[in-house]
Order: sequence, then structure tokens, then C-alpha cells
Amino acid sequence: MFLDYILDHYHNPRRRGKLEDADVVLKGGNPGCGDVVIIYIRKGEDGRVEVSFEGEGCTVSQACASITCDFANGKTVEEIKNLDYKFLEEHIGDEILKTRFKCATLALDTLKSAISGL
Amino acid sequence: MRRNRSMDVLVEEIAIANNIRKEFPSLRGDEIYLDSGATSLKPRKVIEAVRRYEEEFPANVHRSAYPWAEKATDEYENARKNVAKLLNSKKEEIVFTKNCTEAINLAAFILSKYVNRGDRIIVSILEHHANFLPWMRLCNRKGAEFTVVDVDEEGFLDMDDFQRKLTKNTKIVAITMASNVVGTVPPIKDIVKLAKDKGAFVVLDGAQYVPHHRVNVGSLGADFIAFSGHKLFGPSGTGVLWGRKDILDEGEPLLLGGSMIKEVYIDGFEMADPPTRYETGTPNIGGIIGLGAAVEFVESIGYDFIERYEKKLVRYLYDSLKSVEGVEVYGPPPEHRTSLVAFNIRGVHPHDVAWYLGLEGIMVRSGGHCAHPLHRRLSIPFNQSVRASLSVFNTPEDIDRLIDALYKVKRSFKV
Ligand SMILES: Cc1ncc(COP(=O)(O)O)c(C=O)c1O
Repeated sequence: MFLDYILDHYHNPRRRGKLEDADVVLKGGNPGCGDVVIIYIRKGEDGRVEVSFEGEGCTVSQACASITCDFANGKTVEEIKNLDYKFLEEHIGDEILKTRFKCATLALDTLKSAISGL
Repeated sequence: MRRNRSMDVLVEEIAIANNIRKEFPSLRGDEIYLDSGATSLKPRKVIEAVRRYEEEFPANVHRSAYPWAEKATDEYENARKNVAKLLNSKKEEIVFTKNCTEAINLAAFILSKYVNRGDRIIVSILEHHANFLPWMRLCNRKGAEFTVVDVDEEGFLDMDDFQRKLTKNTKIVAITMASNVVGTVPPIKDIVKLAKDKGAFVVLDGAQYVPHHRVNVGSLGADFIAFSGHKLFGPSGTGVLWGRKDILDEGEPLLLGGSMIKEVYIDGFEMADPPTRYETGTPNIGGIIGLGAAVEFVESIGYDFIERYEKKLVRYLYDSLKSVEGVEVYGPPPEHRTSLVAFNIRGVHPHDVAWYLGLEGIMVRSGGHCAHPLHRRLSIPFNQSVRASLSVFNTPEDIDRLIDALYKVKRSFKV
């Protein structure tokens, strides 16, 4: 399993923290389970975006927020709009993705909603 | 039974449990079910009773005169007799609902007319939201005081606090018979007596109690007891409200329509007698017939065995969990609890624990267990916990496997 990889992102999150002057801030959560992710997006001059997050909850939701933001950071708006779960599967494996789908995709779903509001 | 020598489950008792286990078709594999507190597994006898109804006499009840309808009605009413016998009550006092939540809401609705501005309704911080929110809303609507009795750090109900809060204007005391998180069994007899001395109605949430301990409504002296049929080996979509006959006679149903009436005119209606008055519309006929069979299943094992065996099993569960470094267990010692234990592994989110255990074939529940105020009160990390809840088919071996898997969780999550 990719648990070690998940734990690394959980304990040493990339792209964690507020973005000052963010263009969009969006909070996402899985009702009932208490997982929360807040996505920050700031659009640069070159059409690429900076992405970061804050949040709390289970290991998978928080690690995947780190993985997602790290992956999305520096991409263009179009590229982010076209992201699907494939990159997550490559990072965390299909067992975790399948059995923890809501946790794993919370940040990605929130990011995609946020980017459409840009 | 490796870890704990204080465990003295008799070999014969385990053999009986293993025999009972064979009655559950869902337990054919290697999985370990430790979530009976959420819903119980269904024994063959119950599944068979539902199947017979759906296949052999699938008619509506209380309506027609042909043989299927009569048979369906007889079996449905027979389930009521079984439940009444289980609780030592009259059968007119047994109202079937779809779950425990509906049963409590019905009790709150029936009692609402007795509650006035300035009255007080008492619940405890141990409550499941199902025995919390209906009373909170009733208070808000009536301008009554919603008052919550505290627990101590161990999850024992604070009886001094209860007595302090039990003022003359208390109209209703709604208390759980066993907490679904910390397992605490409050001193119900004392609570009923104190509440009755103040003239208050008493509503008991028996969801986690009735599946494990005998209740005798006659000697208990409460006014309502609600529980889930589906946690008592019955089918999903079944629940029970036992209510004192004189109160049911004066009450109104939640729903109006078919079945609950004696006669309808263009300018009014007469209600049927209880319990029919409270079972508006076509009920969950197959489910209730299955519940009747579930009660027979419980009686065939006997509460004596269930209590005696599960008491040892929950002690073993509690002691085993306590023996794992980094595990925090919530609630009182096993002699004061029903058959469940909630815990956390320090440093691992409960959802991650339950998920990992699931991959190992061990089914436990994680989350706030519909008891958010209690988690907050006990400062439980993430306001969530992992809960292992037992039934009479579980064995010490199941618990050993849980503990082994928890060590694996600790290794995998590096805590
Ligand atoms: C103590 C307690 N009360 C009420 C309920 C609600 O039961 P149901 O889901 O049958 O409505 C439950 C179970 O979830 C419970 O454990």
C-alpha cells in the first residue's frame, strides 16, 4: 500500500497554509465525518495559479489535500479544470482511492469548484 | 485469550456462542462483526420469517378478510404479543415504528400537550441525538427549559447534578438506559423514582440496553421506553415504542390517514384505540413479523446467558484495549457498562483506524456516533471515536483479532 507516502504528506504537508491575497477561498467538507479542507487560489500574471490549503480531519483527506495542491500548484486554470482522479490514483494507488474515495477526493473536488469561481 | 489472564470466559460459554454464530448466514466468511450497536446481524429464523411473509402470504394487515390477509394480520399481531411478553407489558402498549428515533419522536409528540412555558425537560449529555433533539425542539416550541445533566470524566452520570436539576417544574425526564458511546448504564431505577416523586414523565431510550439486558416495564415504572428492533436481531426498518396505556389512550399520532381512525366524517374523525392509532398507514409488515421471530430468537438464547456471557466479553474487550499502549478507552469500567467500548489510537484519526480494520476484515464503527455533545464534553480528539460493539455470537477470539489488527494499525501509521 501507499500508506507511507500518505503519511509523509500528512506529517509534512506541502502547500499547507493561507495564501495572502487569494482570488478564491473555498471551504469543502464531508458532512457527517468532520473532514474539512479550505482551498486558496491566487492567479498569477502568467495565467498560472498558486494553490494552497488548510484543513483538518483524517489522514487520507489531509494527505490528499497536500498531494492535490502540490500537484496543481503552478498549473494553468485550464489544466486544473481538466484534472481528474487519475493523478491521485497514480500517487496513492487504487486501493486507497477506491476504499476512501470521499476522503481522497475532497480537496480535488473543492479545488475544482473553487477554480470555476475564478 | 492470550493477553489477559483475568478473562474467565468458560469454555462451554464460548462453545454456545460459536453455536449461536452458526445461526447468522452473514457470518459465513472470515469477517469479524463488531458493530452490532449500529445494527445487529439477522439470524436465519428472522430472514426466514420475512421470506415466508413475502412469499407465502404477502397481503396487507387489518384490512381484508381473505386467508392471506388474516394470516398476515395474525403474524403481525403475534409479533406484538412476543414483544409484549419480552417486556412483560400489555400488548396494547406496544407501538411499532420504523426505528428508535421515530419511537422517541412519537413519545415527544404524545407528551407535547403536557408541556407549557416555564416547564423543564431534562436529558443527559450521554444521549444519542435521537433522545436529545426532539426534546430540544419541544422546549424551543413551548418556551420550556432544555436542561442537560452532566457526566463525570469517566462517563458516569452525575446524580448530584441530576437531583439539583430535577426541579418542581420538571415535566419530562428523557434518559438513555445505556450510552451508545461510553456504554454507561445509569442507575435507571433511581432516576425513575426521583423523577416520579417530582411528578415528571419518564422516557427511556433503550436502544443499546434492550438487546443486552432484560427489561420489565411493570417494575421499572417509566412511562415510555423506545428501542430499535433492528438492533435486536430484527430486520431494518423496525422499532418499538412501549408506552403506558393511560398515556397512549390520551395521545395523538404523528401521522394522520389510514388505519389510525375509527370513523371519518366530512367535519371530523374519531381515532382508533392504541396501538393501532399510532401505526398510521401500511406498516413494515414483513419487518415486524421478522421482529417477532427475533424476539423468539432472543428468548431461545435467554437474557440470562446473554447478560452473563457478554459481561465477560466486554470486560475482556475493555481490558484488551487498555493493554495496548497508545490506546485511550472512554467511559466507565466494564462492570458499569453495556456490551460496547469506544476508543482511539493516539495519533491516528478514528476514520483511518476503522478503515484499516475494515481492510483486515474487522467491522467497527468510527465517527461521532450521533453523540456530538458527549464527545465534546469528554474532550475526545477530533470529537470522534472508534467503537467496537458486541453481540452474543462474538467470542474472545474476535477480540484477539481486533487487538492484533490494532497493533498493525499502529505499525502502519507509525505511532
Ligand atoms: C442510544 C441510541 N438511541 C437511539 C438510536 C437511534 O436508533 P435508530 O437508528 O433505530 O433510530 C441509537 C442507534 O443508532 C442509539 O444507539
